[in-house]
Amino acid sequence: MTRDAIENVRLLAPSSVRTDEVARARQWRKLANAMTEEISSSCGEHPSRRVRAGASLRDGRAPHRRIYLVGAAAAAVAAVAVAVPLSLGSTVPAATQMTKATGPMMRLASYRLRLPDSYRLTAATTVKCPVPFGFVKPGSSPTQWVAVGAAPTAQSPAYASQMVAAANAEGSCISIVLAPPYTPTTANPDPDAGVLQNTQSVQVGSYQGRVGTWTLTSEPNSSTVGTSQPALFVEIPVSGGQTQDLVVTADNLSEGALVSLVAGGLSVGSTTPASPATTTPTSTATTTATTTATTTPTSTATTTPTSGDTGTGGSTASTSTSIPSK
Amino acid sequence: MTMNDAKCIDRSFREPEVFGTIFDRHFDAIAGFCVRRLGVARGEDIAGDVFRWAFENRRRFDLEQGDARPWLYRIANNFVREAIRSAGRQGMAYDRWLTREPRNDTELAFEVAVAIDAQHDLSAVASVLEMQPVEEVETLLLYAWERLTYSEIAETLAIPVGTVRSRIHRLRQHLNDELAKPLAISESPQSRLGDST
Repeated sequence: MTRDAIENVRLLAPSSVRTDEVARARQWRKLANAMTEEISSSCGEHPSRRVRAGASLRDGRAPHRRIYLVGAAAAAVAAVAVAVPLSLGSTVPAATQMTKATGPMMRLASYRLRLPDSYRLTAATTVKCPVPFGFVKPGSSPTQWVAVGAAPTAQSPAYASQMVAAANAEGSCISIVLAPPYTPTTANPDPDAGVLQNTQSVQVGSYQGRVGTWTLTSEPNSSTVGTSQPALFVEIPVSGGQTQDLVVTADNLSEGALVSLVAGGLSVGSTTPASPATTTPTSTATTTATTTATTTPTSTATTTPTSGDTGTGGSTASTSTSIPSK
Repeated sequence: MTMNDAKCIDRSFREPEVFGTIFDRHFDAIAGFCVRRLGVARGEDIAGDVFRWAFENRRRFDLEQGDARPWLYRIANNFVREAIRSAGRQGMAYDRWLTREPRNDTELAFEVAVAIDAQHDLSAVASVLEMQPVEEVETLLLYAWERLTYSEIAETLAIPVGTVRSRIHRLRQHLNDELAKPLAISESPQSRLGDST
């Protein structure tokens, strides 16, 4: 049987040309670099401070970050509860106004993340936004999302409302959460190593960070994977030589895109500090997304917690964040 | 609702990170194209360059075209062509053709079954292609390896569809003529094409 010439040409094609994930990630960083540089340049940053997302992987640096998954959720949430209201729809300008990202702003303590136009702020407990850190989502099932690798005791009370989330028009979700401050030690520089998979160190603006995949299960110790999504830990120096992680997760962005987005939109400032009197945690933050970036949501953060769980050690994550001088 | 490529690129002017969608959609195809032509290491590297260049020059993309794939192939083809040119000889692109590894048992069995005439056929095909103008070979490879349609190839190479059709027809005819010749291999294809390294 004689093969057609085209078939012979096809047989000449080298096999095994499919690139693996490592190679793909390596090439992705080239694009992420370019995207981030464009975002940074549009922000008027000094070139020396330009973000080099993705491509700025730093070899040999031990990421010293930890996440208190054992009780961390409580601490983080309580801190947020004490210090930060859900300022959805706020029109307070960011300390660093971005020219590109002109969409809504997520606010958590003194941290602000300006999002692209397409995003709309929403409550943190929408189905589309599985909440990490073992936060309980009251009245829903599954009720807990626990990071794979977290200790079994990483259960926490109903703190879902302490999250801030934003859903864009295509249904993807970004959420941010503040982890408790910690002091990196030589003996234990990276306690959360088991939480993120395939982590890579990245530069996020002037901060160090780490990006990886965050796999969540519906219950502690469950083998059922509820969701898996990219997560970015932004390592922010705070007072007392401690470090605090701002954790940003996204369910529909690539890791590089997530880093780019955060690098271009994250700012830290001391403006409009939250009043503890106004930061009563809620337990039923189930309102739908607002329709525009400037419209204040109607019913987030307005109810008194039903569980009475205000967290333990929550005061550690206060608004004492300092702007790093890197 | 999923945005098409043109809308993604249009939106990336305001939100650069949206261009990541283009990468997610087309990287495998473009990387495959580059790797097939240049080998794994160089090909993957070139593929990354393709997307970076595409991002930085995305204003050149015709938003009337919904699909960015032909545009990306065009960029990739230019990168590949340049890489081959800088390597000093066209043969670089063909070195690996005859040294590939079997993909799996099924393919291995198939290859064993046709081994008797395959050596002759592949040798003939390789030698014919080496003698052809690079533009014609590119056209054929986009059709045979990348399985692009005539119109996609035309877009990729910025030539009329009729030219694509005639190039492929001519090369196919030429190859079939070669394959019809009696089996008479006096040297291995590798020896003519050089080492695969």
